[in-house]
Amino acid sequence: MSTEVLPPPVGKPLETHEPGEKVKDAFEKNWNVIVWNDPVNLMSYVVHVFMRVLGFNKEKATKHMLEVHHQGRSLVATETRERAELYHQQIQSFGLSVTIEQSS
Amino acid sequence: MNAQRDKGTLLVHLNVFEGRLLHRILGIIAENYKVRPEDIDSQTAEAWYSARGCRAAKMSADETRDWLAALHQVKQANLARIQEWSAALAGVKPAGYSLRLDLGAAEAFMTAINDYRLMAAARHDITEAEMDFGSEREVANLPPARRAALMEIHLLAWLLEEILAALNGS
Repeated sequence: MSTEVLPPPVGKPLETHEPGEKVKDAFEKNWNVIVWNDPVNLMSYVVHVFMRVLGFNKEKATKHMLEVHHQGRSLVATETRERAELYHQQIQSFGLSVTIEQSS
Repeated sequence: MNAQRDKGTLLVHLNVFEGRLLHRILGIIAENYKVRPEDIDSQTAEAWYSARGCRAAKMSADETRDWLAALHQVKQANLARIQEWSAALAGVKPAGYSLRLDLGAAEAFMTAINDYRLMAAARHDITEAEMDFGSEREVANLPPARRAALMEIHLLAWLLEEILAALNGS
């Protein structure tokens, strides 16, 4: 599809000391990727970005776009920190408002 | 204005006004893509290089700087193509303009014009209220610069919709 250069993830090192904990944290899918509403991005464009970056089919992408539109935000993925950071940067590079946060 | 698939490419047809406007817009985008996140105006920085997500992820100042630099690299990677498209729309062509894009480049094109929409909205304080204007009178009451920004944002939205429809085959 696109030949666009996608950035490598950049982020904070894991804040653990024990090797076992580090491995566990690296593989634990406990980072939420949240997309926020804004007044400018088109609904059709947001659907396109969700399909392109997150691999959603059109139905799932539309469901999350409508969540963003009506509820102000949508949790689009819960992933490892590394994968969440990658999504964070890719989605923002398309101009959408996005944050990641560790789930409790 | 319309966009269609043609032999593995995307063909965008524009009238004289649309072509002249898009030529200017692509030039502005190219100039702003060259500017580093720390040097760009604060409104565009907030629209393109918001560090909100970095703060939420508790990144350090150094990590945030690196993260923003990587985001800037993504934009810069498309600079040559944007300049090429702008050059293709140079000069007055009374019959209108045709811009042919490789399908693989269509996404960079959409991102660039969407970036312009975000930048124009940020610089001219176009909020949901202005985006939802339903009458010409409301638009006419805006100061000229804000009115022009709003019209550009809507015109580029139309172009985005045309391209997405062409890519999706509808």
